[in-house]
Amino acid sequence: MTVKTFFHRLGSPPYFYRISKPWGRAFAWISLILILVGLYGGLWLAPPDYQQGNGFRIMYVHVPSAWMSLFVFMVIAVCSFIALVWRMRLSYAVAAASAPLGAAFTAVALVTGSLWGKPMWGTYWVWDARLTSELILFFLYLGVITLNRSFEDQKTGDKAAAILALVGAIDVPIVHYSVDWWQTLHQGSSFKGLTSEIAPSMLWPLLVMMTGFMFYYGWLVLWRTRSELLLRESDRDWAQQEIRP
Amino acid sequence: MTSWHEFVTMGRFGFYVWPAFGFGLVVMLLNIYWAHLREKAAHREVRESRSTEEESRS
Amino acid sequence: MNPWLFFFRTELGISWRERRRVMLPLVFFSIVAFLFPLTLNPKGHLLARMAPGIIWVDAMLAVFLGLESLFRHDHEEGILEQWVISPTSLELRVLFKVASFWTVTSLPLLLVSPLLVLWLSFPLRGLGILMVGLFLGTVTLCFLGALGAALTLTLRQSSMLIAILFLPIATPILIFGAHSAVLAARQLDPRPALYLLATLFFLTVGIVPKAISAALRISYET
Repeated sequence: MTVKTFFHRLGSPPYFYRISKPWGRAFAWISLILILVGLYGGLWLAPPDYQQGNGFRIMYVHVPSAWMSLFVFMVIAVCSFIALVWRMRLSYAVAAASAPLGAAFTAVALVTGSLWGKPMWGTYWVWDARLTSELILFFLYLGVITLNRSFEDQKTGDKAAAILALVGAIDVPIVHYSVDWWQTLHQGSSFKGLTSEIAPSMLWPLLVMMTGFMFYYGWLVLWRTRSELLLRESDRDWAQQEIRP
Repeated sequence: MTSWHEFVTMGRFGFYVWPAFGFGLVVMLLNIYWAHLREKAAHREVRESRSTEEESRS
Repeated sequence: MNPWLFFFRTELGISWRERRRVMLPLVFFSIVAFLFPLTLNPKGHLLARMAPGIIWVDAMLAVFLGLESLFRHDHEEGILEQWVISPTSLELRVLFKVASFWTVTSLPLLLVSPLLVLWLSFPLRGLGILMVGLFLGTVTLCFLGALGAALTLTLRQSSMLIAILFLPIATPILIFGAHSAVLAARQLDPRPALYLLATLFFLTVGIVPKAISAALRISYET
């Protein structure tokens, strides 16, 4: 089977529904193992930071979630583009399945960032570029989710949310830049980056955690996409055959 | 880490480190629960559309 | 007469007939600005320092106020459907529609902004920059807001949803806009902020009419 025909078949909902189940199960186990290894490495093996003591360990949950929040939005934007241009039904389902997961990652990044900020900066919230754009990203996720579910006809909701996601994807870097620019203008408080040079013994658990989060997202997005496909095609024959009474 | 005590108190940062990991864990578990709910809703939807189809046929 | 100019004039005429709609954002804009000196300390330079932020947030709220009814009437009368199926460019129609929306809702705000500057004891030397910024910013805000209105066209009670869609996307414009006025008030060079605002202006006018048209089209596709 060539790559091209594989993608063609992957785009067909019944085929995707069938093959995604074993993949999802595999992703779940891989992510569980990776996250456990990453936690052991990050919380036990890694030495305390010479400046931040043990407080830096929040990084092992904060950085992967922040990275996932951006990655998932990128996935939604790419899927929205594919869906709008090539009218691919599967793409809408993947975008709709991703949005709540991305919002959850964003919430975790915001809360853990706040909890990390208190011991490091002395306050739970600062208006630095990263925290602010993360907050805007959270609102964008809420907008995409709400818009998608507001319409009686699911197809209208899918398309409206796709347009919003594309505009949002252009907006997020602009927000980041604007807050950065505004920060340099004020110069009142200098917030240094949270991590500068990072020792290998601290780095490998972070990379393991990030990979674990990727597989966790992969597992849940396959699972949710299957539900979204069923909801969108509930009266088709394939859906009726998959779900026995 | 050199001792259990240090692990639990995280130096003096336990008050911040553990809630951060706890919140992450709770949200990740909730994600699983929500995905499960969504799946149940999808299955219900498929079954309901089948029953309406049978009604219209009979 | 150029048909597009004619279209623009007709749109303006329709809005003008409903003068109440034109006056309301203006009254709202003034009342909100008038509440700040009463709730904050009206003396001292605290107010003057907050003035750019107050005026800009106020302007954004005034634009937002008119959004829900922007396409509502044309949608209910079936005019929008005619636009969507007609062979003339929907993007251009949207462009002129939003331009006329700006003329009746935001241009009056620009004209009363000197009054607000006096109320909020903002230094007069910043007034010119404030108005240039407000011009660039309100046009951009109108287009972004129109996108929110187009996406929620067929929904009832859509104003809260429009707010959720519109406000996050509008933040960079508020940041650059308010800070151009801050820089001008401090007698610093406001041009970087204005250039950035102008960039967003052209980016928005270039891209967003396309997105609005796509959003209008999906409401009529089945």
